[in-house]
Amino acid sequence: MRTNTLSALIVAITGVLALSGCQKREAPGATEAPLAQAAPVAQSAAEPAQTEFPEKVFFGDTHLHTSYSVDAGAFGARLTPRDAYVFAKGNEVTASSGQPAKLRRPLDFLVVADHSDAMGFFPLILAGTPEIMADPQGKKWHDMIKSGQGNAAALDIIGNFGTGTISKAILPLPGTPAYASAWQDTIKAAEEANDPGRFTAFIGFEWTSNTAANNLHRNVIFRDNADKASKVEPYTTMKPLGSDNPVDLWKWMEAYQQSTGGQVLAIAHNGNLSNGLMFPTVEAFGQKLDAGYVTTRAKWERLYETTQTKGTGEAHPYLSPNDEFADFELWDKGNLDGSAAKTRDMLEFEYARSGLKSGLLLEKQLGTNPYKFGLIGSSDAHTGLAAMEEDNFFGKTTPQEPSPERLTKVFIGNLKSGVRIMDWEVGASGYAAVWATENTRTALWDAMQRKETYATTGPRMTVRLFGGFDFEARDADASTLAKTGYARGVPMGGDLGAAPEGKAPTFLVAAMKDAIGANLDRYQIVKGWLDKDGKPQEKVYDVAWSDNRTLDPKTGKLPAVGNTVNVADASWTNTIGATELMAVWKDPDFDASVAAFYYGRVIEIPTPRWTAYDVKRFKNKPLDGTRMTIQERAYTSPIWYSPN
Amino acid sequence: MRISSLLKEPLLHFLLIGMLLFLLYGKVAPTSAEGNRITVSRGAMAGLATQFQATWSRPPTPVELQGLVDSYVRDEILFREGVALGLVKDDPVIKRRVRQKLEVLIEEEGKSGGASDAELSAYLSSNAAKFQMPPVLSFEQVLFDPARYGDQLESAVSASLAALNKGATPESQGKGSMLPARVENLPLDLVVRDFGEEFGKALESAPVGQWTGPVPSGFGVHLLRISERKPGYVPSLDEARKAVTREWENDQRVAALANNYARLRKDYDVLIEGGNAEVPAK
Repeated sequence: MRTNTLSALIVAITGVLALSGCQKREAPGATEAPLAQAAPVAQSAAEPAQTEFPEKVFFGDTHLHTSYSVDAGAFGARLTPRDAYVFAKGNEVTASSGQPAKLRRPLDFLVVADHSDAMGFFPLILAGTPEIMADPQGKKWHDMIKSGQGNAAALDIIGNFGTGTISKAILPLPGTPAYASAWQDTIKAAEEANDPGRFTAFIGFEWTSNTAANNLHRNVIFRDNADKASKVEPYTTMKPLGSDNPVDLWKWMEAYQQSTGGQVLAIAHNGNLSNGLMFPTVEAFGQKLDAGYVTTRAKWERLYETTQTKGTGEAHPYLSPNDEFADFELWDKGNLDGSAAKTRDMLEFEYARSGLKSGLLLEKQLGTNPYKFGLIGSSDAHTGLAAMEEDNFFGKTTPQEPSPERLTKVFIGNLKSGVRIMDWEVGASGYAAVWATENTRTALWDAMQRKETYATTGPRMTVRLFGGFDFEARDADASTLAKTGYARGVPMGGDLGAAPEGKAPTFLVAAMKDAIGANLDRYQIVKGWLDKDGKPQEKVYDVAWSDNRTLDPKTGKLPAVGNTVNVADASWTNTIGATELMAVWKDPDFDASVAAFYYGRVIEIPTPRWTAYDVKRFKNKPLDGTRMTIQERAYTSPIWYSPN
Repeated sequence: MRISSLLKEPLLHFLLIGMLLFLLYGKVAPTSAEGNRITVSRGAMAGLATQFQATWSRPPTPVELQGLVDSYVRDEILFREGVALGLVKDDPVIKRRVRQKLEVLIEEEGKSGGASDAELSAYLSSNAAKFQMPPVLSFEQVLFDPARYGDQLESAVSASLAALNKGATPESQGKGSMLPARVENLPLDLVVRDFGEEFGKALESAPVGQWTGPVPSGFGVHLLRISERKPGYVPSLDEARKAVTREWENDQRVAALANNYARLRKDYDVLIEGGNAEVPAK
């Protein structure tokens, strides 16, 4: 068990444990609004229909913990991977705090990604290893269970456990092989829940490198089914079997693919709590970055978690002073347990935009861009509940499930460093959006691998981005958008090679609001490039917006969209903003000789934050400084331009 | 110095008494050499190697195996010392972990034996609502976004309705949208996912084969024509066997946990001081 993963939270845990389990809270009011019906429990008989190109975007969570994660269990989470899938499919479950929980709409996919360290807790009796089988008592129970007398065996074991007569040889002690793993059970839950064409239950885990509480976690996602995934145990960080260095995780991934013929990819956890370690530019773990490091990282780390409950890590106002939307749901006070405060020089190495910029620089130096990642959002909830709706938010941990107290409690507090993060700062964010030809493990995984994805902070807006050299204004036609985009350009996550003589990149962009969400304010393109001196630069362009606003002639800025939020009533109206935004945009500052990237950012009109819904519901008083409104957003994977 | 005076020497007495105490301690001390032995059995060694193989898909090298053994021994020593210091006692994380393990053991009993077809059929019919399949819809639609029509909305919708009734294609109407104009065989819950609750409701009752509307949604208002609506139904056991079996097993597990807890709970007296679970006054 990695205690340092949790050291900051121990105080919170012990306080919480006394309450959870025995305490039932009032049913929440969040389920007042009509809830969409769940996906059918029985699986669809028909084979999923595969489309020619991705016509549908699928929403899900690539990063959800259940009680199988040692810290989640300690927080009081009782739900298992099985429950997590049931919930994600839109069914009601009873949350660990005792209240009913149901999503407003089912998700399309889910990865239960429990921490690999200390994931195992299955008694070895079930696995029947040599030690157990050599012991008469162990063999007896093993045989009983295997022959279907599990009930009798369990009672016998419990009886012997109670009277202290379990053979010393098999008495399960931590650190001995007396526990197989919850891994097989996790796989089984995914296999049961997976429903090709309707709902994808991926097999995955989180590798939790956390030395000195600098968060370098990675989520590993399998393209494969149980036949291959069950042949391995997830990689851990504890030496000697595991390692906290991502380089070793990549070796494990390689070994898995070599030995099983399967495929895995890794998603780096939001780096905002890594204290400057997520995107190194000189050295990592005492080793100078070299061609090997950059190519291997680019090979395995296909996606980056840009937003989640522990804050959003797209951009930081210190790094992007001209971007008025950069100051968004930031967690920039320290590392994971608050033991080390953040310093400004760390920021450059832990935000997505600066990582993408550093990638261009490293490509120039070492020949490969290690930070050529697509963008997704996910929850990292430790509740088994991927419930990231502002008005139906079930928190990051079990103590943060709806209650009058969560508005004012401390989440992470470190007296020594002075770092303190409140529960209200936890975000109801986010989800991963994936453009795929069908809702299956293989199609969604392949889309992730080619980075045809975007991050959302919760709402399910539809976002398209195509890059090419000859899109024209008339291509911005909704009915032919996808056909045109794929035929004459590349989608998000793609590459543009050297520009034809005299041409600049053009982008066909479109966004449609969430069917039950807020209207859209604007569609922006964020460009990053290396200038003549090889220094990374960035610029944000407004390319499509609502309400016929005009750019300020002096600043070139688009005026704010306005605000209809009634905080006290936790309501807003769609009287401002647009249902759909569409445009063709040509880079006005293009230099064909330098590498660049372009990604889309779609911003909603202001809406109530979960804190406002809580105040309305529990009639409690927020602390000074509590944010009550939010402009939800989506971030697309970039399209890269390379002069070579 | 004579022997007799040596025998009277206090230092000698001191040494002799010390020696005696040392020997005596050796006889009665709780930490005998036996108690401090850690045996890395062949079984344990094989277990470590198996674990390595499971992680890396190859057996460990002798150096790697030695590393695993060293770590095993270290775990064992520190664990025993920690237990001796009482660090296990009242540790909420360990307590929760042990509870989890016991519950998994108990859940295992839920797996014993499979259900017969008769049991599954009975389960399916008593939980019919749970296994209900949704209606499946094929339809065409045209979106009118009020923001793009202003006060022309009503007239635009009626003009389009007239055109559609005369055979115009949905693609030729409205001002274009990323929403699909034609949808084939989409189950109702996915219609709701893509178009919202209100629109889904309308599809449940709208007439088949004729243009109708305006129907509101989160995007604006729509004209729509259903070409086919396959009604929802309760599947047969053969069709839903996998789901029924899974849910039945799940129910068994839940019941096993509840029954076992009830049985264990009976053996315990729980005394709540003051008679009620309340937060003590400060």
